Amino acid sequence: MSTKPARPGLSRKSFQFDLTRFTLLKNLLLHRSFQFWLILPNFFFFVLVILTGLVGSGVGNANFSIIFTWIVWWAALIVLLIPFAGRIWCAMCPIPAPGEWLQHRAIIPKGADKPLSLAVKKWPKRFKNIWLQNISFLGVALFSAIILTRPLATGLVLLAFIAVAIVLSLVYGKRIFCRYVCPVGGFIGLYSMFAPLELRVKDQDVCRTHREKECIRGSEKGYGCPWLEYPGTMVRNTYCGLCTECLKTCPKDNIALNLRPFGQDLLVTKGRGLDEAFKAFIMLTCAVVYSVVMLGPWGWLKEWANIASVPKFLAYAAMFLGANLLLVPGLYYVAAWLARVLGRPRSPSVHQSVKGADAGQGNSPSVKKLMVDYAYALVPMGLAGWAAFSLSFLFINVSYAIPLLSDPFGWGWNLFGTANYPWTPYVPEIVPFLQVPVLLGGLAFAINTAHKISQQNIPGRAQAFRATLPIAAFLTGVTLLFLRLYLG
Amino acid sequence: MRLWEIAAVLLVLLALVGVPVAVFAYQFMYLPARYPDMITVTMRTPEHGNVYPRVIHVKKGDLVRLRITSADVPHGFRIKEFDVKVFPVSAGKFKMVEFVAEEAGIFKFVCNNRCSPRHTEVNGQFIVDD
Repeated sequence: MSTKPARPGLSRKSFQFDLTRFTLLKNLLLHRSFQFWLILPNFFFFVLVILTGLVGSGVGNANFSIIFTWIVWWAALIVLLIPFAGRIWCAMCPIPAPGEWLQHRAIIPKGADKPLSLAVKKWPKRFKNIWLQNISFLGVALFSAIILTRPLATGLVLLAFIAVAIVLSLVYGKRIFCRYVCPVGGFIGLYSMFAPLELRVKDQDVCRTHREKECIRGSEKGYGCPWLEYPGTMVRNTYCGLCTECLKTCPKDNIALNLRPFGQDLLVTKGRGLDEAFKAFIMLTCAVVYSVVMLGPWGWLKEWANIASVPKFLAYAAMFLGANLLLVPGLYYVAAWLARVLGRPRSPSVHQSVKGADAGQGNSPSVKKLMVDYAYALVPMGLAGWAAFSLSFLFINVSYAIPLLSDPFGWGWNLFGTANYPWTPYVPEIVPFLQVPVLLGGLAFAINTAHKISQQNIPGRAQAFRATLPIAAFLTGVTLLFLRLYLG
Repeated sequence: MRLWEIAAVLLVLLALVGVPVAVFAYQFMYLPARYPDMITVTMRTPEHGNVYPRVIHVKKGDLVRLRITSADVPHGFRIKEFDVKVFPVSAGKFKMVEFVAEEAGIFKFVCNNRCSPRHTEVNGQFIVDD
């Protein structure tokens, strides 16, 4: 157990525990086959998901692809994996695996560093952000009423992900798909900032003086970071896929896998950007929209989302995109503007007495900067919203998975004798008792994060407190909306 | 490391080729051989393609094994002359019915659950050859 130095934006040293102190775990992480063994079960799983999606029953709840992807996997991802282990799913995701194997012409041993000769292009600079991931997520989310209920659509979408990942891997090399395109990877990256698990260097000074930089260039023990990160200066989880290549290549044994407090990256000022802020808006908005469309009593809205007719779907698309790209960011902009107004010092001398790069040196930060910075307070809120949404259907519908173990295609098989297990909602009466603490916990964490972000931007305790109020009001309003939707 | 790679390649091939081959072999070779007399009837509304197959052929005196399923909404299945009644057949679920085709002729099987505005079109022929 130890504490580590403050990072940009963090004012105090924080708790950390390096899991690589466990020799067995360290040896596992260092073995070249480690990631393959993580991926392999999911590779089988995805083959089955795609196969059942393409040729299995068209009835959603009688098809493995729908139930195991959108209930079992999704709930595991949002309720367990992301909040507690960040990007751990990215370490075991089978989608980029075929492209990566082809790129290296090897699965386990260290293969070719350079991609196939197709890879002559560099990823365009204008796409070196997560805007494409925002767009791809919105695209999938817009058609989610179809994708989440039609096995064929699920199969085709996952197949398309794999195809795009292979093409990008062969054309651009590395994990370009994961880093810049994958619709799931975008929000996992953002929400992984909340997780109490991080991969970091033990001592940044060691990296500063070490010129070879095997973690970037690769060595005979492993590849240069496939996620295009430099661990030596990495201070957030956002773009680290936990592939463990840097652990393998670092000759200085300077990489750690740390346990740490929740939500630490949310206060790191380095790397914040409008693309990530919009990801936070989109995720929060989608959690609300999904709750309204899929769980709400408004059948007409469900019909519109289900493409009952083209005009109705276009109206839904306009509402959906408007809420994601205009309404919520607009409201948050207003909240950030109010925060700026309320955070102004009443006496100029107070303002001038504050030191520090983030304090504005006497100048109030712009509304846009405040909006972007405060957007990171939406991460715990959005994660809580998604967890509450997932809990609403997890206990109610997970029993559909049991017959599908025996009959994954919905073809009338009974491999393990569970095919006739009836749909059984498990403890539906306790679901609200789980949702409420999750949402209130998310709210408390979000407000606390917002307050700390205020302190980074607004000089003076009283001003920072006042500046937090509009953001806290926004977060409280969103929580009340969720509670209204779930509790009635 | 070479052995690791061989094992990995074999496992990947097992997933990519072995799983589909096993699935299709089980469905289209093993099950028909195990249950040669079984006929699967998939109930669908006319909007979704109607019942499949539309014509069922059996021989007089045969023990008929029908496996009824629905691909869309709750249906039913009825052959009045043989007192066969299966109700309801939920989407994605399977129900078995067995009976002896004691009488030769052309009979009608129908859906006996009002499944769509075109419910009355959901029917087919059950032909018992002499």
